[in-house]
Amino acid sequence: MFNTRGERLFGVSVNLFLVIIFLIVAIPLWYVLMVSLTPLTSVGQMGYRLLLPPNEWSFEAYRQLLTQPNFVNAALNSVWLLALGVPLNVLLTVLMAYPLSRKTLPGRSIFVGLALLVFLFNVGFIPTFLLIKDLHLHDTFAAVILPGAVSVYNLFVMKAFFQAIPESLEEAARIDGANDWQILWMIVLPLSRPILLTIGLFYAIANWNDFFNPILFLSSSDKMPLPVLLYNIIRASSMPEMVESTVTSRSSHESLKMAAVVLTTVPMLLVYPWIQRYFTHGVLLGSLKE
Amino acid sequence: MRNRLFQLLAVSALAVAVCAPVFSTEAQDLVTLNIGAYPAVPEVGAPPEDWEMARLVREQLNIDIQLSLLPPGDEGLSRMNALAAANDLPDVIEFRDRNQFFTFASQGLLAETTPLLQYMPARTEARYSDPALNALVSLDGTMYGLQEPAIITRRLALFIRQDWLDNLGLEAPTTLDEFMEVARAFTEDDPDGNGQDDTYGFGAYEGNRLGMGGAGDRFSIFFGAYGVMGRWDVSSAESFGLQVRKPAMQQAIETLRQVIEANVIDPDWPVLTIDEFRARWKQGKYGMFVEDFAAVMYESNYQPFDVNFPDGELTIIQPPTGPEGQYSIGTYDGIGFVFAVSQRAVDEGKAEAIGRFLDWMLTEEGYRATVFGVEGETYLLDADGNPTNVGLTADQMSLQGTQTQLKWWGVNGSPAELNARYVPFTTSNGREIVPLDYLQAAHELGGWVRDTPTAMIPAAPNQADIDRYISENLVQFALGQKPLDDQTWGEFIAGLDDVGVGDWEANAREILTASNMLQ
Repeated sequence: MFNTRGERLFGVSVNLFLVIIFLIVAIPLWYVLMVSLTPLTSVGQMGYRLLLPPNEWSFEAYRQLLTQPNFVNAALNSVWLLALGVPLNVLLTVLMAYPLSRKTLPGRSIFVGLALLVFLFNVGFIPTFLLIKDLHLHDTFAAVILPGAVSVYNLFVMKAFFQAIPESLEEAARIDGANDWQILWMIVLPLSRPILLTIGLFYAIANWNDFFNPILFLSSSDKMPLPVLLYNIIRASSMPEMVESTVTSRSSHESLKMAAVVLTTVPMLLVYPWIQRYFTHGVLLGSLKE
Repeated sequence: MRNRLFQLLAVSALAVAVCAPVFSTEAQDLVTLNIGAYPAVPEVGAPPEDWEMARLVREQLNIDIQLSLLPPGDEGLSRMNALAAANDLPDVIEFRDRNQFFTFASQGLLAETTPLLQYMPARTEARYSDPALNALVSLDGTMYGLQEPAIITRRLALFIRQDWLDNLGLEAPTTLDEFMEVARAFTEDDPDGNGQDDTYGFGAYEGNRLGMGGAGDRFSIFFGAYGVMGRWDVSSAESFGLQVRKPAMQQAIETLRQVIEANVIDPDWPVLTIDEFRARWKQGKYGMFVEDFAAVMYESNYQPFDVNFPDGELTIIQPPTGPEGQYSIGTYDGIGFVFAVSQRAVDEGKAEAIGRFLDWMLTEEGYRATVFGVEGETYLLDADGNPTNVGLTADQMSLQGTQTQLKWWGVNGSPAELNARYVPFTTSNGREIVPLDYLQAAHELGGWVRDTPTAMIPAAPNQADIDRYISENLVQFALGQKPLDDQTWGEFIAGLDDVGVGDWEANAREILTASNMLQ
């Protein structure tokens, strides 16, 4: 509640700033949507507009993409990578972050140092490719998921969260006879829902948007996920020999590209608000009074 | 007893060795060929499970095709580099980057292709019989690739709004001075009669190509007017070098600067993308522009323009001549993609299978499956029994795309094929457009300069720096951001050697001289 004039002025300024930021973020997104809904005939007449009346909207680009067998297949591949990758990512990150968060872990500083080393220095994609090939994982989803199974950044975020859990909780559990696994499963993880969902979302976004690893490690075109297809669509329009390919399209290339962007982005946009409500730092409050 | 047992074993072994070929399944084993190719139609994805071409190859040649589509651009190069590092290159590879091809060849990753030619006699006779083209894929006299000739070349043309000329009572320009006059009239005299100041005489986009030559240079007519077409002058050993060093290049840039100062060109040209450029001429903003003939005269590309301007008419004119009567719209090298065979594939004994597969694409059945797909589903036959796209639905055309992802491997540029690709259509006001007429006009009127030897010139180690230095300076001169006089131009030329252009030219000269490409 703003009581003084200065506070009211401050409140108005903050709100105005937020509105400006919102517009800066929202306008390009809106433009992408409008371009995707622009009919082919309108492109030629008036180009792409920020404000396109709803009665002129055309879903032809979406129809064309969704009716292509490879688009649905690519989307399913992305879902598979998500469904297989995210649980593995979170599981491995938890199994690494929890021990590192315990001060009693022997050699803890060495493990933390090794993780930081990997974080700072990257060997590049060719050694990784050779490793995948030697493990006979080439052209499998495992080749896409495993190299990035644990993100060091996410690892340290989760480690910090675990470190913030009061040790007295763990001590109380030990007194009751719980072992490390039971403490992790029954005490720590239930209290860690916000961080699990947050890290899970980070991994989900990374997995969903990953296109270089599939290009590198997958040979079969029918295993390629959505970002690769989107990349191909975008590149197609800039290749000189592709000037004829628009015969397959009942919408402009720009509309097709933007429709692909929307279809690729929407799943993450739908998931995020649902997870956001779990980001409550008040979960831990009241679990233990000290 | 022991001797008898030994004799029995020896006879049995001999019998097995003699009869083994009869029972051996080797002769009946499918040969698997891994093909690394760039998709002909990237946006429609990989061939389906029931890929007709794969089925026919399996049945007729006993070869199982495993197609690995490479992503266009740098990502495709990265993937190929990773495969090369792991010695896991596909058996047959399509190269679109000649530098990468030569790098792999020099590292022993690619097989010598001369011994393979015997397995593909028809294809060799049709495509690999030109020593000049074969030299383009050779290292130290050894051929490591299969240089495909270009199927369709010289696609660019200078288009003009004929209806605007008629409205203003003007003739098509033939000289640079006339070009400026017509451009001014198109800009200032309301050629479309809509009462709005919304037209430009000339439209283009830069795309880091200014002064670089090559396909897609929308300002090429200005360089052609001064005889400095393309990136390299390969007309003779004496004159060899970058065109940008020629004195005439300064004059060409000066002319471009005048065009820009006269405000007869769309001022957004430095920042336009190719899609935006194409959208603008379809919106009727440009009176003249340089464009790929199919980007204009392919039915689906022409449709937006036709909807906007049913009475609009685009024709092709000869580029304007310069002070010495020179003109040109561009250069062409006449070469297509490069195919190669990995050394590993030859070591595994797949050379013959590869040859048979490539040759099969030139058979009637192989050609149709490769280029058109499935009769009745992805192509039809015209009255003469030739494949045609006329009568196909949009969905069938999309399906054709998935079935013909290797079509560039089989196209031959025959009249029947071109007729199938570029189908005549009728505009909304009943005018018939025959796209191939425009291709022919592009050929005849373009004043094209052939520069095939330039394909032998490798990129400089700091090619991006060189391209950026040249393009940025030329743009600054053209826009007037940097004064254009003999001194500033001299400083720009001197700076070329600072970015290594001199070394690049010297290396290029050495390579072309060794290949007898410079006379």
